[in-house]
Parts: sequence; structure tokens; C-alpha cells
Amino acid sequence: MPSYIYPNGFPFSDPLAFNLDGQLSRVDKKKASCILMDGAVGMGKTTFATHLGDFFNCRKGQPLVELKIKDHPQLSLGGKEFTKQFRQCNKLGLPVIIYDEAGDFNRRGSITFFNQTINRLFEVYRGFRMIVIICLPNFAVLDSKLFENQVPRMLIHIADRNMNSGNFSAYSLSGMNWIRYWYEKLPKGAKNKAYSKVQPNFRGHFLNLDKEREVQLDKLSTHGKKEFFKESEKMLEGLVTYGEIAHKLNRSIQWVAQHIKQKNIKHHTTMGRVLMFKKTAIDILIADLKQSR
Amino acid sequence: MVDFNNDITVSAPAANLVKVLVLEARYNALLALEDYNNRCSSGVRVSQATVRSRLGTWLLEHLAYLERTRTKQEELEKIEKMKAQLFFNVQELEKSDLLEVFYYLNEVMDKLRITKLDTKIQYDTTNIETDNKVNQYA
Repeated sequence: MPSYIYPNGFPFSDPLAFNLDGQLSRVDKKKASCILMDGAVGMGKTTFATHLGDFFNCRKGQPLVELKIKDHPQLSLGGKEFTKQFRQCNKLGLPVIIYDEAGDFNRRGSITFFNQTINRLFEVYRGFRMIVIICLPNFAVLDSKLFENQVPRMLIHIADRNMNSGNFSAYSLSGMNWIRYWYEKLPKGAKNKAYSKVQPNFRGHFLNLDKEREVQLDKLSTHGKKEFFKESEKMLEGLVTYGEIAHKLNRSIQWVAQHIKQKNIKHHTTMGRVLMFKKTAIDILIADLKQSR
Repeated sequence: MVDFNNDITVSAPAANLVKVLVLEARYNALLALEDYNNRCSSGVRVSQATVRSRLGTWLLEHLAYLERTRTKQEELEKIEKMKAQLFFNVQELEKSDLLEVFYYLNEVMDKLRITKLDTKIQYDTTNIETDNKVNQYA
């Protein structure tokens, strides 16, 4: 029978709880606090982040992190959802938000509008008294500005896991900067050894969520990834909906539907119950409009 | 080690000279203790006089500092006990009592950084925020 709590009363070993209280006290003093969580794909980052979210919620007298598909203000998948849910969490008075799949906030996009927006958010968010937990496979790809502003305070690197528990190492900001240094120095095939170059501040273990929450989290995570794949397919294949075509041509959706039927333009695929067309449909309708004039 | 007949000694700061004198007293006590241990281990019955007098000298070097800085009653009682044992006790002391004096004074000198071997800042490395502060992250 797997257990879900250690003798210290938490699903993770000491002295992590003491250090998390340290982050809470920072936030209470209106200082920025951000916890990074990294590890290879499928190592349990989201599970562990949920544990941390539950811990912070309990400390502030709030219920456990909600994991319903239609209502999960504290667990955001990707940057867009993060910026939207940040305001929602602040409105609900929640002390922590998890920014999962944070690979979109990386150095390569440093001059993009998205990166600048997220950077700005991290510069000013301390006034909201919230802790942000960022989960991604490798923290060294994060925008450098985050480290220059000393926003991240702790890194939790998940080394390995089995079906019931996982191992982690915790590093301070100084340790993180040294890992980033070694990450730049080491050759491509050996970059993962950067973590072993720096002594962690402490090591520990964490347990899995209980069965019910594990299933909830799994469903939520899969749903989020499905949405991501839908968006990716749409972007890569240049697909458009009725509404997008109508917006482009400055016509109503009914007009677009009628003319697509007249021109016998077939939809390329469906996503959910939404018909998706290739962008060539817009060109055909524009040509039709010019002809009718 | 400190030559009071030398002009350079007069111009040196007193605190530096005292540190050297304390180190000298400690060194002499160490030699006496070493000799005492050596003879005891060989099975020879040996007098504690040299060890006690050198430990006494070493304690006297520290006495003013200890009486000024120690506030807890237990510590003050411990210092009085050491004084009584080293200067006024006629009977022979147990070896453990002699070593206790030695350990106590050694610890005092280590905390004062007179004999501290490592220069690293001591702090709880499992406390991430302390580590951040020590490394000068706000």
C-alpha cells in the first residue's frame, strides 16, 4: 500500500518545508519569490509543483490546488494561460500560481513581445504577494533577465522517479548561476552534467499524489497538451475558422458559410466541432468578391 | 616569543602582542600535556605540576576576557571551578579535569579566530535564503 505522506506530515522530506516557509516570509515582506522546478520530461514536475501549491495554500488557510479541467486557476499551461490566470489568482487571494510548460519563455525569444511581457510581469509582480512556481525541462534556457533581476530564489531539480516517489536536489540562486555557467561551458552531449558540477544545498524525496488527485491531474495535463497540439497544427498548417475568415474579409459568418457552400470549398479538418479551412479559402473568396464588383 | 626588551615590541599594537602571548601559553601547555600523556602511557607515575601550572598560565591570559564576556551563571561557576582546581587544589586532579580545561580554552580561542584553521563562513547551507544572503543576493 503506497503512502502519500512522510512522518513529518508532508509529501516531501525535510528540510524543504522550512525553506518554503522562508519563501512565504519573503512574499509577506513584499519581496519577489519564484521557485524553479526542472527535470527531464515525465519526471513529476507538475506533481511536485502541485504538492508545493497545496503546501502554500494550506499555510494561508486556502483549500488544496484545484485540478478540474474547467476550473484550475493555480495551474497554468503555457505563458498565455499564465498571464490570464495570474490576475484571477490575485483576485481570489490565492498565494501561489504554477506556470507549467514554461519552455515558451526562453532566451531565444528574448526580443519577442511575449518575452518582454513576461519579463515585465516578473519585475512588478512582488506587489501581488504571490509565489510563482515555474516548471520546465531545463531552467538554463530561461530568459537571462529573470536571473539578473534575482527573481528566482530556489531551484528544485528532479533527478529521477518511480511510480510512488521521486528524488530531487535543491539549489540556491548562487548554485543556479553556477549551473548556468557550466551549462554554457560543457559540450552539447554533456550539458546535463552541469547539475553534478555544483553541490546542491540539500537533497530530498517526494511522494506521488493520492489516486483521486493523480487521475485529476493526469486528465488536466492531457487536456492542456491536446489543446497545445490543436493550436500547433492550426498554426503549422495555416488553418482558419469561419470566424477568422469573416474577420479577414469584413463580412458576417453567415455570408462566409453561404459562399463557402456555393464555391464547394471543402474543410481540411475538424477540431472538436469546429470546421477548419486552409488559407486558400480566403484567397478564393477574395477573388470571388473582386469578380462580383 | 615576545621580546619585551626589543624596541619593535613597544611600537607593536598591544592586541597583537597579547595574541602571540596567548598562543605561546597554549603551545607550552600543549607540550606539557604531551609529555604528561607520554609518561602516563609508559606506566610512569608523574607529577601534574608542570601541566597544571602551564594550564594556569594559559587560563590567566584569558581570565579578564572570560569574566567580562561570560554572563551565564553556569559558565561563571565553571571558570571559578577551573581557577580553584588549577591554583588552590592541593590534591592531584583527574586527567579528565585537566583535559576539560584544555578543551574549554581551545574552544574559546577557536571562536575568537586565534586558532581557527578554516576561513569559510559558517552557516546552515540547507537554508536556501541564508545561502542567497551570504552570496550577496538581496
